[in-house]
Amino acid sequence: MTLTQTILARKAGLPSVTPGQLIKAKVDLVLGNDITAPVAIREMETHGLRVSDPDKIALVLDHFTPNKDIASAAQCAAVRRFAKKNRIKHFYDVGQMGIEHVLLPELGLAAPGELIIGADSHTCTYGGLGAFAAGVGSTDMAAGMASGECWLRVPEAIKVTLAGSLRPYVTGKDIILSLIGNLGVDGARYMSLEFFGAESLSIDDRLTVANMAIECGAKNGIFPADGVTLGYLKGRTDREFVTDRPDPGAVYAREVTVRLDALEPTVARPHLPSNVAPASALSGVKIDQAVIGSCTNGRISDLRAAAEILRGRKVANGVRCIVIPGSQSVMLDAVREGLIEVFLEAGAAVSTPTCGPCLGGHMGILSEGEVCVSTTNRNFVGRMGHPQSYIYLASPSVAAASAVTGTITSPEAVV
Amino acid sequence: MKIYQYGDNVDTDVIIPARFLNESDPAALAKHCMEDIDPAFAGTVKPGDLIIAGENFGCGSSREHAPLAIKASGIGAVVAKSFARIFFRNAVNTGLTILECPAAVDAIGENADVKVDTVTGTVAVDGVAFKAQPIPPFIHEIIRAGGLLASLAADQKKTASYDIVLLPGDGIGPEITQAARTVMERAAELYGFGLRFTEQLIGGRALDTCGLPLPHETLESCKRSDAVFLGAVGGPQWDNAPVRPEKGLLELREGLNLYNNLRPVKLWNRLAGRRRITAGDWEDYLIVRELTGGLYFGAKGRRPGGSEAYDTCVYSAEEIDRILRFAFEAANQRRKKLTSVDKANVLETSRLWRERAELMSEAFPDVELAHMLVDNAAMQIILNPAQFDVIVTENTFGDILSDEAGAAAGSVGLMPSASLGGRGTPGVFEPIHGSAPELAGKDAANPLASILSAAMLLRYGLDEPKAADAIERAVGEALDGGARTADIAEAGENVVGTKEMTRRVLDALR
Repeated sequence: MTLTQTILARKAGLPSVTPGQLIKAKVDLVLGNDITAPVAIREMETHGLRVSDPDKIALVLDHFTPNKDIASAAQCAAVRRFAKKNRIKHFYDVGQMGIEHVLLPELGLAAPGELIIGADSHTCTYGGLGAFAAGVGSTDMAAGMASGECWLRVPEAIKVTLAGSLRPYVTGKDIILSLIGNLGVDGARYMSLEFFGAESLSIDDRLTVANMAIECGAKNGIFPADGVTLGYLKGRTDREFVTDRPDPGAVYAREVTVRLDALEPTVARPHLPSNVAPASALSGVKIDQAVIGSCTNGRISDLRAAAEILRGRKVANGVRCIVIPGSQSVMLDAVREGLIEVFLEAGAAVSTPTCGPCLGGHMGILSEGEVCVSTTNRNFVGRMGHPQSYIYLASPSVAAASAVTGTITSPEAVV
Repeated sequence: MKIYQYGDNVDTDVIIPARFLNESDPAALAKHCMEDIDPAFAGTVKPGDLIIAGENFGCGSSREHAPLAIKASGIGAVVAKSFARIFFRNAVNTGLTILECPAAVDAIGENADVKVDTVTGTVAVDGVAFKAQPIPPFIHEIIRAGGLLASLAADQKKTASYDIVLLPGDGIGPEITQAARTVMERAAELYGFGLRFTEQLIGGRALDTCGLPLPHETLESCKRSDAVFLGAVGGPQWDNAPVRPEKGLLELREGLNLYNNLRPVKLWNRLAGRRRITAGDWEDYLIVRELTGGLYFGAKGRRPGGSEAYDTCVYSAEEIDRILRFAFEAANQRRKKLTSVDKANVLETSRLWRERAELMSEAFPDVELAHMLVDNAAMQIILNPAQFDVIVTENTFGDILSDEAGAAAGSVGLMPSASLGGRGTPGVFEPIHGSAPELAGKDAANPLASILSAAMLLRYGLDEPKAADAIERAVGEALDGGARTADIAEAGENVVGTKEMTRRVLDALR
């Protein structure tokens, strides 16, 4: 069995599983946010369902918060009421919250071998820590909260071997963008992406890679836990967890190798994440806005990478650079390390944690014809605002370098 | 039976176009199902018809509207070579039968005779059977139940079980408690949940047995329960006891931190005009009384010499706010009118009460807040009770007004009550009437207040509103059918006893 299949078999209480098999598995955590949880809550109430274990639910108000309008305030109020009524332990409101997929790993709510479902497509992020994590719909979320279980179809896997190590200014974001470019947006449809050879990658990089597994259609992306994982989890959780390995004879639908030392800063052009090109090849593209943040790239190492470029430099005239730390603790670390000072002195704006502009919510919506380089995860038509606006997906280093020059720029070109 | 055949990659945008997604009613969605590739579909499809499709059926967006529309159109099953991942989940979750069977799809010609057996997972084409990808039993169950949540709801109801402590007490207490228990048991059976009852001592019987009106064991048992049902306490034989049986009630309220007393006042149709002193022909309101603060719990005593006594009325903003919040929320669920009763022209606690009510009303813009002085409220309950929706007031005023309201509505024997604490602590549910020692053991007491208290227990204590509604409906039907105990019978009407009245309610319960 593959790594994913091994976890699913254990959670289903079965000795083994095979691709295509339908199973019912125990869930360790059910996640929802201010967009998807209200629908699940309403469905639960309609069917008179009760929460089975309030400690296995995480509710994070992160998408349109701090409330951007009356409708989003009402959504948050509904989640808040539900959390209070059901004594949900892991409920995070403005002041404690972060972008869900930045916050949960930080708080130790995802661990190797666990099964996590979330009514948010980027729930696959937790595969970076060796968990099986997949995005589901609101009905599945409601069912997960009520029963503590979820039905799943066992996926096949694509084995991705990461060979060598990354060059300076090349990051997890560049790995996943180039892989999506290689596989296409449906190249892993329904399958697992299982990553091996990642010993040299930080947890932040692994979370970024797993986060965008969905962008090539995958059900989940996963890294087996190793010493780096255990070091990250130390002090974050005292739950017992299992570090699984795939069987030596595991069968994969496909195997690909990514040569890390051959990668260069990579950018996905409008309007698909698979539409990739080297940053250096796009130096003629003028930008109006740079966004640094999101569940893909809102962690402290992302802010450090952006600050390294912006320190002592200025955001180009006519460019709006918006920095969004992914959580309260990322924000606090950034303050203590002097990164916020660097951003402000460079002429960037810094926001409280929110998903905000990534899905066209608030805090940096694009007008007609505008171009944005963004460390987020989707560049579909209209994703960040006007249908005739253009999003280039990139790493924080590329976004910061582009903010400085006003055109898409590889970091090596400015340092 | 007709078959509708489509090719590969039928996406959710053609199954139900996005322009119709401002609807979520399945029947309305069904009217536009498949409209963009097969305009005739919605008009011709009949229950039990089949959709036959190629690869990747249901690709595209994650909208659950797609399987909902197909299901509501009457389609019995979709047979395809393969299904898109999210459509597959959504079909199962919304209870649409789907079968993956590429060989059958290839074999189906234009006028083929196709039969689908969902139990065995076979598709028969012109008499030749093809085996579809097997569907595990739990998915059969989900589809049979009409979707994932409906199936879970059925499971949860089957397994839900609650612990209820019964405190029958004194006088008629045991008889009316038995009536309430019988009705709750029947309602639980009908609405699919379990009840476990434990009986404990309180009041006079507790005094006689162990010298305390609320034995330690009783309180502990109540704390562990989901809800507490109380019959009645007290009687003349304990008039001279060093501790009065009623003290058990106060200790119970304190022990469970019950700060909120609810009394619905309702005019039962068939009793309108009888024994009633209120004006108008309709009233249905809820009195919310603060239960653990104010005069009854403040410092009290005698000055040296004993000829001067005092009681003090103390309220904190926190105590006021929690009862007001409950009342505002209750009003918000009802007719959105809240009357806060105080004596703000004289009492400082009342002035604080009024300030807090004004502040809180900003958080409930839909609820109309009115203040009323308690003396006026006492009159209005008689003169114009139809004006009230929810009344909220402090302990002493609430004590007096709620008895007045019950008596004025002509039906003390029909008045239930609930005393509630915070979330997660059990509430106490009891009829407002006393232990009526003169009726004890004679099968003469009216059990309806007790039965209606049981309904409140199910509603507020166990969150089983459907069972609670059913009990209240059954009481209404029993009264409509002419069942009368002595306390509510007019001259010449046939009078029934406690047991017969209970039987009439049980007969009407469904």
